[in-house]
Amino acid sequence: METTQVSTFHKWLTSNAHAPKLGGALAEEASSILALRDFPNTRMEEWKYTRTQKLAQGDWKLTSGEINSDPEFELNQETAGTLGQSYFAQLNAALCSGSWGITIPQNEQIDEPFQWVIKTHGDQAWVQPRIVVRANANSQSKFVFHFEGKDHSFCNGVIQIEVADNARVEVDIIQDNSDAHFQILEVNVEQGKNSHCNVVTHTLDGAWVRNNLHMTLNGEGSHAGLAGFYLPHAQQFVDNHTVVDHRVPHCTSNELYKGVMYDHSKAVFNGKVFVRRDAQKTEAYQSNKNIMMSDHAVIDTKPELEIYADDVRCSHGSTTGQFDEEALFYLRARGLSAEGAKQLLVSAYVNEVIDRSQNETVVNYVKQALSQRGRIIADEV
Amino acid sequence: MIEIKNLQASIGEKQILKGLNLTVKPGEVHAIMGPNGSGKSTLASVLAGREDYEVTGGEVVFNGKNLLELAPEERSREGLFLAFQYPVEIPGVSNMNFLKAAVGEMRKHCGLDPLSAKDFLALVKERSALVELDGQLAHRAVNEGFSGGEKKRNEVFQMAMLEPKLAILDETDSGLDIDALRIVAQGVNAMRSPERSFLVITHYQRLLDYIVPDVVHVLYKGQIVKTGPKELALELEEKGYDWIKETVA
Repeated sequence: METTQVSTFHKWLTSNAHAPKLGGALAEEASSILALRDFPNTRMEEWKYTRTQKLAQGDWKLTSGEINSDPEFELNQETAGTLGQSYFAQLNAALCSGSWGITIPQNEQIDEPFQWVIKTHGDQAWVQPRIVVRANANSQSKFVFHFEGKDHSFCNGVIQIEVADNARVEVDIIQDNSDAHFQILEVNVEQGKNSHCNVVTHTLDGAWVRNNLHMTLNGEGSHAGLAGFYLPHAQQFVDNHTVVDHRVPHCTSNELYKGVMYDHSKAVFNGKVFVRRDAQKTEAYQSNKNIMMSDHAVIDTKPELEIYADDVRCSHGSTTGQFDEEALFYLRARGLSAEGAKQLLVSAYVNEVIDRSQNETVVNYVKQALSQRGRIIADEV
Repeated sequence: MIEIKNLQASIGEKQILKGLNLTVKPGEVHAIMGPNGSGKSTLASVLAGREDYEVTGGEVVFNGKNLLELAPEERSREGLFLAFQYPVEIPGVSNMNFLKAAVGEMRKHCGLDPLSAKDFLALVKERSALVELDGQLAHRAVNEGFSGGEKKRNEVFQMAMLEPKLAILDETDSGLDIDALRIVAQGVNAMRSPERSFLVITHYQRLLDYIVPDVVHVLYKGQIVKTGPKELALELEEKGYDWIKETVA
């Protein structure tokens, strides 16, 4: 089994059929490292609850997909970004055909969000988008990455964001995939002094989703916000692995992930918060909450705190349960059906995450999309 | 309006209602009084359809329908309203969205078109004024962070929005100061009509100074043991429940 898993991707790594490559050195480095790495499997801590066989067995064909940005950017080989640590980030570096690089000039405040729509369509299609953002000092910008995976396809994306001193970046990620699509997304954020970055991950649908969000606070006075929701149904699988790395003093982070689990779905939440020895006066809060709508759904949740400083305020918590029966009865006693009452409660529950987005257009879009699918009841605008 | 015959109900192994009989006609206001643990709140819960209670005998006919066969939401749509003793806080659900859904269900059930946003807002304004409820509260999450008095006023406001045929007020006076009590009662009185009945469950007589009942019942050990005119409430206030207990014993 393991041999098969390696060979599917190995075939690509060893062939030259996928030119042009991302700027030479990085791609070559990635290729040579990957040649020695095992394909992720459940014996590895990072992949303990996440099955990769079906992904490994897919007969994926590298394509450029359909990637549109507003405003438009050209794919280039210059803004390659960094290698990354995970297998799939390196796979992206080894085999992507270039990156979309964008630099926000110093002191520039851009109200209009930059938007990417990344489509992976067609059976066996394999797309590897790579987006590298540098937000220079004192700048303000917003980004929307809208992933749309259709058919039996695979998208392995990398987004790297550097937030310089005093810069402010708002990121919304929308994942809206088919019931046969595989998505892996690695988001890496490096933050400077007094910077602010907020990443909201809206996982609407998809057969199999693995998100790695890694935020590193390198400058004092910076803040990282992480939020996400998932409402998997049928056999869907959603995995969020997050890391917040407090490396310096006087930084704050706030993380909230919420799930509503239907049918036979499965989800994983693994949130790590590191507070390094020098990172005194850190304030780090993390919470993962899950509601089980079915006896057959499974959630594996694992909040982890590693604190090496002694003067910090940190909390983490995870809850998993059913809806408050009192609230349900109250709503039904006012004439709402059991189904309608649950929908209203799910709406309230999920809105807390959606509303963490600072992009009103995204908030409305996501609420409407979920409401059209009967998951939530959207507020009348 | 409602006819309760030999109603028996239990929670777990414990039987609480032991053959309760009660008939309320349209337009009437009945008060149910009784000492702690006599089954007052159980009666309210059973009528509203709370699933923690098991009905072990008897029947309840509401507007010609077998009430006990209906789901809680069907009871509500048929025109039964329970003002909760402890209104539930529901973070994240705005009062407005909740009410819109509730009124929408009610109208659908009655074969009426949904209210336009404008008409709905006008109705909210008119009915919230009945209980002097600040317009801002309508936009906040259901009961979240409301004071005790605001919660009870919100219950009566919801009642006024839903225009039930029978409203059951479960110890609506508990936890209210005298001003809040007056406002709540004023809201209830504004809703009194020849077609609408009330079942006012209370521990104390003072609520009945404001909501004057047609009939007063005394509930004790799961049965109605005494029924009388509104003066019975005054007598209970004066003498306490001990003389009733002695009479029954």
